[in-house]
Order: sequence, then C-alpha cells, then structure tokens
Amino acid sequence: MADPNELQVTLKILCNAYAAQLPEKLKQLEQVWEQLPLDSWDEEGFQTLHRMVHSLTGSGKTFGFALLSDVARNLEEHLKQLAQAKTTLSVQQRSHIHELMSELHRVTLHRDEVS
Amino acid sequence: MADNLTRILYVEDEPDIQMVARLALEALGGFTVEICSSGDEALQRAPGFKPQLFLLDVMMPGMDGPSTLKMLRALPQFANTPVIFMTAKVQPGEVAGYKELGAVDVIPKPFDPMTLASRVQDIWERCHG
Repeated sequence: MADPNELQVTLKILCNAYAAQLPEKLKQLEQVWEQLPLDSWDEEGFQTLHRMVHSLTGSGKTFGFALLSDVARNLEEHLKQLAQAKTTLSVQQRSHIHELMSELHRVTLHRDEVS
Repeated sequence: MADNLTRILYVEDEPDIQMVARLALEALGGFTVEICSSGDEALQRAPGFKPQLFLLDVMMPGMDGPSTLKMLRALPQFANTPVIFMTAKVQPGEVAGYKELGAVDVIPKPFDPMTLASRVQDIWERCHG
C-alpha cells in the first residue's frame, strides 16, 4: 500500500487538474444551453445539458468543490422537472436556469480546505 | 468469511473520476482494479479479468449501469457476482429500485476518495459475512 503522504500529493494533483478543467467545462455547458431553441423543446440538447450538469454533481465534492456539487444538484433537479414536461421553457424557467448557471460560476471559486 | 476481495471491475465513463477512483481503490484500498469506460467494454473485459465485484456508474452514454448489469447477469460466470451502483441520484425510492435490479448496494456520488475503499470493503463483508 502507498505512503499516505504520497497519496495526498497525488490526490492534490488530481484535484488541481479537475480545477484547471472547470472553466472549460462550464463554458461548454453554457454553449449547450445557449444553443437550445427558445421556441421549442429540444430533447437531445436538453439530455446533453442534463448529463453535463449531472457530471458536475457527481464529481465536484470528490475533487474539493463541495458547493459546486450542491448547486449542480439544484440545477439538475430543476432540469429533471422540466424534462418531464417537455414543453418550451417559459421566461421564468429560463431565468431560473440562468441564475443557477451563474451560481455555478461563482462557487467554482470556493475550494474546500485540503487536510 | 468466504473470499477476500481483491479484484474489482469499475465501469465509469469520466476520466477524472476514473483516476481518482483508481487511486482510492488501488493505492488506499490495496485492490486490483480494472477500469472500463463503457458497459460494452466491461462485457468484453470482464471474462478475462474475472472480477469478484462490479462497481457500475449509473448514468453513462450508450449502455447505462442498469443495462450493463442486465447484460453481465446473462453471462453464467457473473450471474451472482455482487454489483454496487455508483450514482449521484440517491433519492430513497431510486436506491430501492437499484436494489430490485439486483445491486447489493448504492454508493452515492460525489464520493470521498479517502473512504471509498473502506466503504466497498464494508459492503463486501456484509455480502459475505
């Protein structure tokens, strides 16, 4: 079994790599969101958006971004509800998604303390 | 207890999670881990690797975790191999649903890399206690 210090160092490297990729991931997320049509329901585009958010929910905290996981989970829950209705998004629904996306950006600045 | 757990096959499509899980399970847990990026790959590689336990991510493009489980169960040598789902969807109802599909347990994501191996070990011991 590996030396615990060495392990912590490797874990830190993986967390740093994750942190470095976050801006690009959020940018891609925004691009998918912006490409969704305003006047109809795009099932495939919406599924892609859902999958990308789900990936942030399931990974953030593992790499030291607990708040990112929390906000992504809120967004995911919201998307899931919309995916059941499959109707064109209202102005309010769009603005709620937009708010949560902005919050995702904000919380990437909050990195958990690593012991 | 029957066998010690050594060989784990983990199916996960995301490279960053693959790396941290490998670190957690191999370096920290001392397990031998085979990582597959899709259900298809798992079906190809499982017979050669002969895992004692499967860890399956639920939400994957293509074949998802539950479909992968179904296909693995169709192979006689894996008809009873324990399967743990890994998922960020952990509403109580959903967990019950996964257990009905034949999973022994569900590990919620995001997981803590420092405790993942002991969590897997605990579930294994519960299955073989």
